[in-house]
Amino acid sequence: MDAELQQQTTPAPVARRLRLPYKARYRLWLALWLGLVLFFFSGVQISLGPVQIHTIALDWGFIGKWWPFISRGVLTTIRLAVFSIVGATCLALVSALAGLSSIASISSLAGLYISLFRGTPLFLQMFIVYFGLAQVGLVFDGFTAAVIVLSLNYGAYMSEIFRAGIQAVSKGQIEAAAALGMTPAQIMTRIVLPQAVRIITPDIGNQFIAMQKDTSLASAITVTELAGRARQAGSPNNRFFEALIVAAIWYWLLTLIFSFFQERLERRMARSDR
Amino acid sequence: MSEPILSVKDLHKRYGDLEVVKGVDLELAPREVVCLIGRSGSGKSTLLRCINFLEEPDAGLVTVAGYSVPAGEKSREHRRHIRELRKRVGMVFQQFNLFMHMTVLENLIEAPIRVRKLDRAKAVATAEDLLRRLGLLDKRDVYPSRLSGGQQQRVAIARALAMEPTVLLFDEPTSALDPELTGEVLQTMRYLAREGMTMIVVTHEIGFAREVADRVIFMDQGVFAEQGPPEQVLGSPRNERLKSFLERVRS
Repeated sequence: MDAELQQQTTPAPVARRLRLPYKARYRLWLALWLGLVLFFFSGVQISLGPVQIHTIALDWGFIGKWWPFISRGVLTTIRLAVFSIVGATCLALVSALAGLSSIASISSLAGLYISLFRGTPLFLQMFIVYFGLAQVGLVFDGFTAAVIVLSLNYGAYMSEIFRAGIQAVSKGQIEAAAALGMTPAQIMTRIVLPQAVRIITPDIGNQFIAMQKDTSLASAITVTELAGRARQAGSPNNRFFEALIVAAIWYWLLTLIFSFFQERLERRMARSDR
Repeated sequence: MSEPILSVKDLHKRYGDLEVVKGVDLELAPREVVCLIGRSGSGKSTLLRCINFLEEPDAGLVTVAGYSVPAGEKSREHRRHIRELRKRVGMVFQQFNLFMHMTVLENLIEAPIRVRKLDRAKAVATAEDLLRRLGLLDKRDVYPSRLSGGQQQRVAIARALAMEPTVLLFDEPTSALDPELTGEVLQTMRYLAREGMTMIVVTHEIGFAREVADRVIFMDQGVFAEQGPPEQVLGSPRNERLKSFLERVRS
């Protein structure tokens, strides 16, 4: 105990000088952990005395042969995500404004929409639109059905974010604009929405990232995007692990790229220092 | 008194059971500066906000430069009339309320372009001229968050002036400022008074009222309890509640 205390109060000066800044330590550890994860997929077997460590042996020949096939799904995934992001954003804006309306028939409609699509599973919604609606004669191809469902589902979630963002803009901003003679539409488009968008950018970015990954559910309704192709490749060869890992790495990469641009956007928006 | 440039007739405003403004009449001559003083809750801010219909009065008539808007209507036409009136009435708020996502210049040209439909070049020229006169030209491209409270309030005054209003309303313009920053704002308001701007100022700055106002009105319990030239109202008040109010403010 005494010795411990002494060590804490008088650290060796050399060790102190060698201590890396937090950011460098963070990166070093990150690389180490990543190395450990990769090691588990190396196929190496180590025996340390009585302890045997087995790691997963991947079929690299299979990966080399099939990754171009799987990777072709990336474009479909991106297309799905982009269309759905646009659709969801439009729906979210409209339903957020509708929800804030003082006209009961309109705000209640927005409320019902949000409740329905947040209250049921996305996976089920895919099936309902693709199989269910086909049964009553409304036939969509898998891609269209997926875009419709992702837009509706994420539109409902993002609607709540938009609404909170709009309400977070201070009442004084609206009063000042009104006192200058601006119309309600001008106040919304010129004063409230630009500030709301700045407030909600981080939340909306997270929604986009989540949606980009949820496009994988479209594989359940015949869309051959990343996850679908991974299953197609893995199934006949019984090489699920290899195929799915290839797809997983793509999703991860897409998320990393998106996060990078999201951060830059947020920094740019912070210029006016809200 | 010459033809009034602003007149308020029999204005009433109630919140639920509480009548905050109880039938007020007010006329301002061109270039006149009126200071409204009174306790918080006396109805002075509410009255000010009723003049440009930020609060919809329950009854009354507001006329600015011959343009009249009666209270208590709900039609689309009525809302258009209110916007017409607001073009003629500038307002400066206690909390400045500058548009935080816009630079100083963008704050000044927004309403002239969108509401008065000026072309951009003309709006910019007017705005720059205003900023120069108020000593703010070097802040032209700065965002409000980079400005001190006093600077923000002066920009807010410039934003109101950019609409070339007939009357300017000030709602406790220095109350949110640190004491050392009130001076520059009061200085700007003095300058406007000298330039002949017609102004109604709700304020607790008795010194400013004494020095700049042509008329001081003491508002109490929703009515004008006493009014007159500053030396009379502030120097030899007759109303008992005004006397105790002035004592409290001075101590």
